[in-house]
Amino acid sequence: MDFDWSPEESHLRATVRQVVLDHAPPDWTSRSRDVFTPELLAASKRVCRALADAYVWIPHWPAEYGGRDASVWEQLIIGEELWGAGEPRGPQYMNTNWVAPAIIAAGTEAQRDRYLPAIAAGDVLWCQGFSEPDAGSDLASLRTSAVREGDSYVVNGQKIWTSYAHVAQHCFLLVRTDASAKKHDGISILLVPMDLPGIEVREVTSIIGPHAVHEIFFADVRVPVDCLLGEENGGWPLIRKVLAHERVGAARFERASRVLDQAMRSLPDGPVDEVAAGRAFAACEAARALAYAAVQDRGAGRDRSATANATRVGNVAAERAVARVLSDEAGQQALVAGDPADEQLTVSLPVSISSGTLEVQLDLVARLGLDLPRA
Amino acid sequence: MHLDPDAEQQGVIDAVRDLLAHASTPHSGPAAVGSAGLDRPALAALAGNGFLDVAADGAPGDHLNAVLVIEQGEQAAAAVPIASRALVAPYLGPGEGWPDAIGLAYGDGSVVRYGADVDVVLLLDGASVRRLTAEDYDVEPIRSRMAYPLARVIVRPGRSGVAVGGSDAAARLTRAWRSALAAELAGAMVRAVEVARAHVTVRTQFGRPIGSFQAVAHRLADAYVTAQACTWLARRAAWDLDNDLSAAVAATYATAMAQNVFDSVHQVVGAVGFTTEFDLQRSTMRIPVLLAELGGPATHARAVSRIKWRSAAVGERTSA
Ligand SMILES: Cc1cc2nc3c(=O)[nH]c(=O)nc-3n(C[C@H](O)[C@H](O)[C@H](O)COP(=O)(O)OP(=O)(O)OC[C@H]3O[C@@H](n4cnc5c(N)ncnc54)[C@H](O)[C@@H]3O)c2cc1C
Repeated sequence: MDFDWSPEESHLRATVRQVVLDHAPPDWTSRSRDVFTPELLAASKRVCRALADAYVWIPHWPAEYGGRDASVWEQLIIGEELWGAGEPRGPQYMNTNWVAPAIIAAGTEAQRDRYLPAIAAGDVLWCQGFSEPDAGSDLASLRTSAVREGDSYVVNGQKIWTSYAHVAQHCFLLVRTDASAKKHDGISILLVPMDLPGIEVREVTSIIGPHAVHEIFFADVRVPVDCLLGEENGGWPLIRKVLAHERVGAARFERASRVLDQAMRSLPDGPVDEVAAGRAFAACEAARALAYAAVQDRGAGRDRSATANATRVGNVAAERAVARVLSDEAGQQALVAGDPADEQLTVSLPVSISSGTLEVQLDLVARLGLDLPRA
Repeated sequence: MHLDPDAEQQGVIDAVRDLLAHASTPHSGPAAVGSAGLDRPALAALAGNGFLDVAADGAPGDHLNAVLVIEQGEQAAAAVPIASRALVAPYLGPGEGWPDAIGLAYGDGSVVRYGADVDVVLLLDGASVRRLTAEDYDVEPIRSRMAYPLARVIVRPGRSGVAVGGSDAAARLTRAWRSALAAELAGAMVRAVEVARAHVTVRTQFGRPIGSFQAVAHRLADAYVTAQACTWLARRAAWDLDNDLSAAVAATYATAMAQNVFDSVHQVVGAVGFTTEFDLQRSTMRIPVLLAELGGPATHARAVSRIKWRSAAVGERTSA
């Protein structure tokens, strides 16, 4: 055990921080990540390109695809600095974190050539088409169907809660290709161009903010078979890996901690409730500690560890504690849209739902961490 | 950053676990109501094998080793005051020639773990730290249901012991004590969760192991997550023991969360968890003692706030 950063790691952190200072709009917040205006979208692309210019955009990719096989710790540092700044990569954080790694892991040579350069250039947007109206936590019960006809899959169905669908050029789509197989065994992944005929995107208006979530409707959409990622009906094991990446991905504790810090510094006499504020900061540090344990496990290849799920549990507590302190300190000012307390409330709301609910995480901790019997 | 134990650290963990498994006096009977005090043979075994001196040189990695020893002590629910001797005293005064059994007192007249059995008491008295030996104080054993032997330590009139630790002694003692508390709470939580885990895996009701009920599993999973976070925060604080903030954060988190863990492990175990022959209370009934130490949970949390956001105030030094 050694809790120090190497000089190289510290340098990497400083580099990323400088890119953010130089290129991210000063008023960028977590809400901006949903790129609900053309200006925000353009700004996010500028940041991605600047990160690429500084060689800190895709360092964790294998060298043959333009990365340098950077360590999981370097990935964590990049994640902390960017998520901490409200994720000015916008939706493209998903591309480097898990979309491209999935394509590198399971794609054909042609697919790698087709998709990776655009992702590496910081110029393309993806969305994640997993959830459906009747398939939330029970994702494997998804019904959107893809039926092979000649050299196409014909896709019919509906996705929901899709972030970034309003701007995405591609959808990483889960479909059912075998309706008769057991539910986990009939699922495939299609890399779907969003401009195909028959695709319709609608915003679902929400209290979270503009363009936070969308529906995607598929009506007889003909998707070329060369858009299939991995084996037909072999999507589920791949998805589980992808979700593991996603879970370690978001350094929510870092952003929550910075939001708390900024808010408390803006109070001339410090927080009124020093105990609550101190505990909220400690909750952020606890989530960080869990995240680091998860990174260690991932780096060591310990796949069946509960630490990534534990991190999600820690992040929920941290985000909520910070939200509570900000609203308590702000009083009625917290009711004004755009106030930091209001922003933190809306950011902290979906933390226990999106990317797998808190209960799903606790189930996994019970199983992987405590080896408790299944129901 | 590398969080797996290296060979030396793993060696410490394994050796202390082994040693306590064999040297500890087997526990039976009630938690601590009139129970036997300090387990001298176990403490002597730890001392004899050098485990109370792992941090004697004061190098950063050595403080972490001390925390690993402390964790094992709590995971064995051993009746030995490890933290005061292995971490706190050497950090305060290296080369002072410390005896094996040391108590920590937060003010004159306060309740001290193993207070009736220790050779020396370190008294945090405002801005100074005093080393008290037997002739300096009286002890009043406390009747308590807690799982540490407790006694009030009262300084005799006209006595004040010897000042130790130099001009920043109080701050140093506070940092080390906070880190130690976090490690002790972490160890107690880890053990309590493990005892509860073992129970809910085999206890059946309604025809199935109770651990398969989500209401049980989630509570225990939550407690497990807390125990893990607590462990890592304590280790990190020990790694950087000169940092006020890390120590205060570790103590704040541990003391803010420990009551939840206490409640959860007892809830999922049911009535048998309250009995003296069941193993759970040997850890849970330590938690209130640790919570009440060094000013208590709110004091640590307030310190975090002041170090972070009012560093000029109240004499807390910031190194964040
Ligand atoms: C802001 C936001 C962005 C999102 N972005 C995307 C996206 O880009 N792409 C995408 O595919 N999806 C996205 N999602 C969807 C997200 O993945 C789902 O919301 C999540 O998986 C939960 O599904 P659900 O909302 O249908 O809730 P449900 O599954 O209906 O759950 C409702 C409640 O029941 C509980 N519950 C369900 N099953 C169990 C069980 N077995 N045991 C105990 N409790 C249970 C849940 O924990 C939860 O508390 C997003 C969601 C949000 C809020």
